[in-house]
Amino acid sequence: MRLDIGRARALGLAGPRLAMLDQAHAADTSVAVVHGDGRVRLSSIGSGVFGSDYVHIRDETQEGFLYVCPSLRAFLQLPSPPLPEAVTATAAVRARAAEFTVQAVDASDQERVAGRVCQAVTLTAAVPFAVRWRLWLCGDVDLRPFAQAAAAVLTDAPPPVADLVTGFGMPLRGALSFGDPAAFPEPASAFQLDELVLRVVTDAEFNGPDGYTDLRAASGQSP
Amino acid sequence: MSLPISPNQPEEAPGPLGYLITTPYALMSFELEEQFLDDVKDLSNQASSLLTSFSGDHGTLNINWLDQLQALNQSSNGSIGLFCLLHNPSTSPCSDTPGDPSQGGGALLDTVAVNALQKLLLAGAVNPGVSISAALQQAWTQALQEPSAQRWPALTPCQQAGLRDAYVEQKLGNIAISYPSTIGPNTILDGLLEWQVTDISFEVDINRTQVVTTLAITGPNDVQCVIDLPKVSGKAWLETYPGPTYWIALAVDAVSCAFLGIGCALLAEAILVGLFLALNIAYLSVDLGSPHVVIDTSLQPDQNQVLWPTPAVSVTANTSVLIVNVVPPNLATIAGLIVSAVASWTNLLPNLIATQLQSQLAGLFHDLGLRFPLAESPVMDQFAGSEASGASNSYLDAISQEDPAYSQLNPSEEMITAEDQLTYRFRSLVTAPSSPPAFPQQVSADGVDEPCHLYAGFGISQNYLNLLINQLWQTGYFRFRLPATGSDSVAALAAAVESAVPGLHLGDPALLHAQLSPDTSPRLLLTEHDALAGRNYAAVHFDDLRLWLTDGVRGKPASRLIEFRFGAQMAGQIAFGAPSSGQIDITKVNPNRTFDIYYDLTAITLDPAVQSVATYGPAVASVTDAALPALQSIFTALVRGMLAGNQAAWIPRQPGDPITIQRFPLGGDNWIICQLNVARGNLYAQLGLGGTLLGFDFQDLSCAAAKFLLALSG
Repeated sequence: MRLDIGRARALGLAGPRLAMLDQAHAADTSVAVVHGDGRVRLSSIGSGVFGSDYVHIRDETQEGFLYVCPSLRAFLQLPSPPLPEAVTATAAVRARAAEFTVQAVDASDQERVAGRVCQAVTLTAAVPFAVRWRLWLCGDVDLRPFAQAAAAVLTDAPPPVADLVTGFGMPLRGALSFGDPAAFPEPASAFQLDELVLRVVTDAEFNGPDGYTDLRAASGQSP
Repeated sequence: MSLPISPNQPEEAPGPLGYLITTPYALMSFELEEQFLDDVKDLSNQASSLLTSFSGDHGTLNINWLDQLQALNQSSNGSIGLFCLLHNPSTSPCSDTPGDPSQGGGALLDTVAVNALQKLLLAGAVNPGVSISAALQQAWTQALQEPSAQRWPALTPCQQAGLRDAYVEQKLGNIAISYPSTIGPNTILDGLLEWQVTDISFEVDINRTQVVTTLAITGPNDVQCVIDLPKVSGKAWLETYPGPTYWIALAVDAVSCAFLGIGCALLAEAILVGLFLALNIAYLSVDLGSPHVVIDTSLQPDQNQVLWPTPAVSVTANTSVLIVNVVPPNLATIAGLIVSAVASWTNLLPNLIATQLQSQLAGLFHDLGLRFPLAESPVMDQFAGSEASGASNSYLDAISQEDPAYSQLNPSEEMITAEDQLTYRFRSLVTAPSSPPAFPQQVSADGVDEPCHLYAGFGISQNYLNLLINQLWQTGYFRFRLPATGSDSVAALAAAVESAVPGLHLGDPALLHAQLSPDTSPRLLLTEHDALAGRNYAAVHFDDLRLWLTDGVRGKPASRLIEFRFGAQMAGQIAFGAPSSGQIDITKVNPNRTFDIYYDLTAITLDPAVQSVATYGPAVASVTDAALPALQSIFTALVRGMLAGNQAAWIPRQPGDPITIQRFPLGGDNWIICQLNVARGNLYAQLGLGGTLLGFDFQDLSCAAAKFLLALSG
């Protein structure tokens, strides 16, 4: 995964959230994602724009998430912060702000990603500014059960967008470009699936590791 | 005789006016000896060896060293009693009965405080610069209405004690350094996180160590004090909360998530700010390492060319700020931002402390009137210019000189500068092992020799002394209106004249008036030859005294007037301080002069050669020169009356002390010693401390012993 943070900042994209990124990190960012039933385990691989050495576990059956820090052998369980009403309204407006439409399905653009054939699809949006989102989607049958969940994690997009994407298949590669392609030929954001493994996961992978301490206690504060 | 000139200084060439062995101008030099600094350093270190730490919070760092010594004295039941040597507070209820023990006072810092307060009153300060009760402030304000010399005495003993205690405890014994204790609120990370430091607290560890590592004359015009504090550390209490954009960040739109990819999932629910907030980090650790405080004090002129000790304080500290909590690597950026903001504040702290220390020290020096030239009459100040110089690790000196415009004979290029021989001659006197006598190394107390240390000195040219006595004369200082009664009264004079002139009847003395005053300026001569022989070192000549006796008053012409003319001379002495209860006290402030001329009234010599008499009116025509021999006694008595306000007999000495030694009691067997030597037309006043205080190990000093040392009550 690679992000042109400077360009995103110049466009006012993602707002203050960009401040959380390690802008000095120029190389690719690699993240491992394990999907289970209603659960996702994200972990950093090496260092990246999102930091390093952490595990982030989301469980739809429970409120909040679990942050695990292997280097400190500590965890921190946090509830999802409730959005204030005013912010919720704003969020709804913002979420609707970008309405992607399928501009073209380029049948000639097929590539193999993680050993699978993918079909390129271009989505565009005019609001809040011109966006070209090119996704390479795999329509293999064995991936269909996971397409929605994978798309949601990959993009955290609102359901209409996720539905739009997964109607074509499971995204294995993507590139987001802003503005005139001639002026900005390089995508501002790009991701690619390096390896895809279909296997049976265990509950343990979504639990706090044994022997880890609560980070609040480890940091000297009461939990 | 000829005194050796310092080998480091070439012999001066004769000036065009031919001066060689004497100084031609009204000059004064000042010299500070290294020994003074050594002793202050020793006392300071003995005090710091008893201290553990100072703390600061809520924006004030309290260096309450005296409070701690007092607490130590109390907790040790007086066995660690250095406090008693430094401060003898008044007790409640305080009694205004003269000398009542409840008034306290007399300890070392008390003496300093009283000196400073008297000078503040003299200077017309609207308040003493310390926090006092409304009643004391009212008394202070009321005292300011009095003539300058009467302001301090206008306060009752208990009011004086209250002011003294406040000055000692607030200004000398407790140095308060204020600092901004809060930072913020600030936002970081594009407004995601808001934080503020609500209170920064400090602990200055002394750890019973000797903190004054240097107190010495380290260069030209520089006294350097170096204080090395073992450790200064503290805490900055931290508050964090979501910033104004935190919630906005959580509500990103589809494009943003498309841009962030998986990062959107990572950041959506729990952006790192949330993690940081969840950690609830309560404080940061602030470390100033081992601060190195350097105070360079030099003599610098003000706009009136008066030199003042001017401190320049620098504080060097290796400041660092860190979060003691365990922080995940992901949060290092946030922690780093806060740490660096607090660190940039703490980096300012050494300068902040330095600035305030500098200001407080300068204020103290001004309160104490540590100026050069000395505060003589205002007229004298107009003639004085000053320069300062010094040599490393030996002494610091300064010199004043006449204004060239005042002395038209002396073009400015001939004026003596700071490197003048006067100072070097003074050095020669200081270091000379014998004649003239070097400053005593020991003083006798009840047959026991006690150590004596030379601290400072003044070189005063005879011309300066003559200028001083001339100024006194010009201001009418010697004009003596004879009182109605007593041995120097109008009645006594009338009776003596009637006795000397048979048949003369002057009538009711109550209707007569008489005045004695010098008609020409008196002269003060330093008598070097006599001094070397162990006799007086100065003689004062009143060459032309006029004494008149008349029945005239304002608006009524005299029908008879007798005017006598005669000359008188006597030994003169110079002493610092002010008369107090029939004795000169060097710690008291003389409102007019730092030092004054005192006259030996036990051996007044009249000069018969210049005596004469003139009369007006037939009633007194019989008074002729023939009466003069019979009037010598009354003349002497009247001169004694004229000079009664400056009696040399008030200068304190111990039995056996030569006239060149003055011993000002400091309590117990301790004295401020002043030795006066004359040579080459200059008077050299060397000041030091002698007695049991020197060489004492104050850490083992009990309160009872301290009070005994200074003969303190209570």
